[in-house]
Amino acid sequence: MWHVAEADKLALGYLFGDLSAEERDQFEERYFVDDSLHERLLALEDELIDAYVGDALSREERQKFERLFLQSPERQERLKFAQALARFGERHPNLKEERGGHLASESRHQKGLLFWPFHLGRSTSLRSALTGAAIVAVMVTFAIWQNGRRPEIARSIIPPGQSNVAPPSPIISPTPGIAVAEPRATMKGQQKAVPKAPLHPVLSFVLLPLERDSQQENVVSVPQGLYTIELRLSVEPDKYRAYRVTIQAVDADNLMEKDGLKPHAMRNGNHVVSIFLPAEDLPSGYYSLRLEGVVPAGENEVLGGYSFRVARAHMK
Amino acid sequence: MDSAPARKEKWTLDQKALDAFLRHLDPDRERAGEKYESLRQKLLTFFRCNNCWHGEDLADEAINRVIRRLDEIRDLRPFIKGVARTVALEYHQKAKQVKETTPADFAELAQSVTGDPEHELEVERRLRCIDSCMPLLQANERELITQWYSYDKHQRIENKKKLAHLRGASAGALRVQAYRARKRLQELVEKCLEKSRTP
Repeated sequence: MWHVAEADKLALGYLFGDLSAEERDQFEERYFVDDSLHERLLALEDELIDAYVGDALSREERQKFERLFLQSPERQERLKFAQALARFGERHPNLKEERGGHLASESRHQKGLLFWPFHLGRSTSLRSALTGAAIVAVMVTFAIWQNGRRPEIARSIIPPGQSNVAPPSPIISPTPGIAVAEPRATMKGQQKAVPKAPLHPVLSFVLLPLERDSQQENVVSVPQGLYTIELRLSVEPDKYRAYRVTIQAVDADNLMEKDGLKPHAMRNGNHVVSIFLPAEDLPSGYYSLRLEGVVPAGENEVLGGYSFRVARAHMK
Repeated sequence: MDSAPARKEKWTLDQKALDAFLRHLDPDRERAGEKYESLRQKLLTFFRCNNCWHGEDLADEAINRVIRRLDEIRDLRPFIKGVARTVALEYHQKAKQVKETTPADFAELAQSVTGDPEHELEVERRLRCIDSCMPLLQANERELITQWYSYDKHQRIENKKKLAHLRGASAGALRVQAYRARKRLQELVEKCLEKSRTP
């Protein structure tokens, strides 16, 4: 059953309409003045809706909830969202007791990802020796996330009813000069994957920054199907606590901004910032990306610009 | 000679009046915008918790009335709350009388709402949008939401206690963190829904 702390009982009484007129008035005066009280009230309201969806209310509470929440169109909207979230949680039920009763670590590196590194996509166009050798900038690492650990990124984008997506097989050995991503983690002692839900692969691409007069090109090749694209940018270790990325399509208005990106260390010791995007948000075309280091007390520092081309390819 | 009575012009919100209100909230334009939005959200909460539908319209009406009388206001927040109460009273006076509904009727209402196929479709649409929007969250937001909702419903209370313990936060603080992550996700889902509705 759902229980609230003593400190929250007044707020709950407010939500249920149980307060006297005077109590209600005083409570409303307080949250109009106190932003944090207002936020706590909204958080409690969300939890109340979740408790109703999860059938955790007492009979009396449920009746009150139905009286107050089911007649208002706005609250019905919130109910729908809460129900969708509950279903999302039901599809990811395995954050149970693991490793001696502790919840699985939230670190991506400890999630147990099975990596099958291989090279997807083709190298960029190479230029003649007169203009300097072009460097192939794209490396693709194909990640298949297994069921036993929580491949939350892949799973989080699985549409309901989707059947298992067969992973593309590894293709070509790396082109000389291209660094191949090392596996980020191995699945030691991994249980055999028992398919519970369909998996969406994550396609990872390391972008190299623009250099003046360089002929290099970053190409992000996306096969047909449902994927999440991970764009990785190398950063200096311990330089900034967070980063900001802005992505713009060159020939369209769309703009994506991601704030508060934290750097993380790869197994090879490199530090990177990762940006995850659904593949459908990147139609074919040219994009520019700007990376900024977040300076808490002042203006962010622009660290570099990147350009890349998204090429939609067909799987064979 | 009689003169025709002066016609009272209906007040309408214009940019000048809005700017004056924003300056009243804060001299810094950006902070003023944030305070405006915070105020609007509180009005939405107020109307929702006072059983007023169409809170967006009512919040706008309340703000307009405040702006109109800005010159007379000494203390803004109590005044705003007073205006909100008046708007809510007017709303209830205009709303049709609803017969006293028994718990059995509410149970039937619950069934009709949640059992409606259209409602079910709407929930599924949101679920698809949640799936596609989760990668757009910050990693810590994504992790928190996934962990907050991943447990079987009977274990959810225990899960939240453990989660709070692991994160070194109180239950209340964790609830607020989850609320913020969820709010961010909801904003993304609303955009996703809007996008899916656009032909």
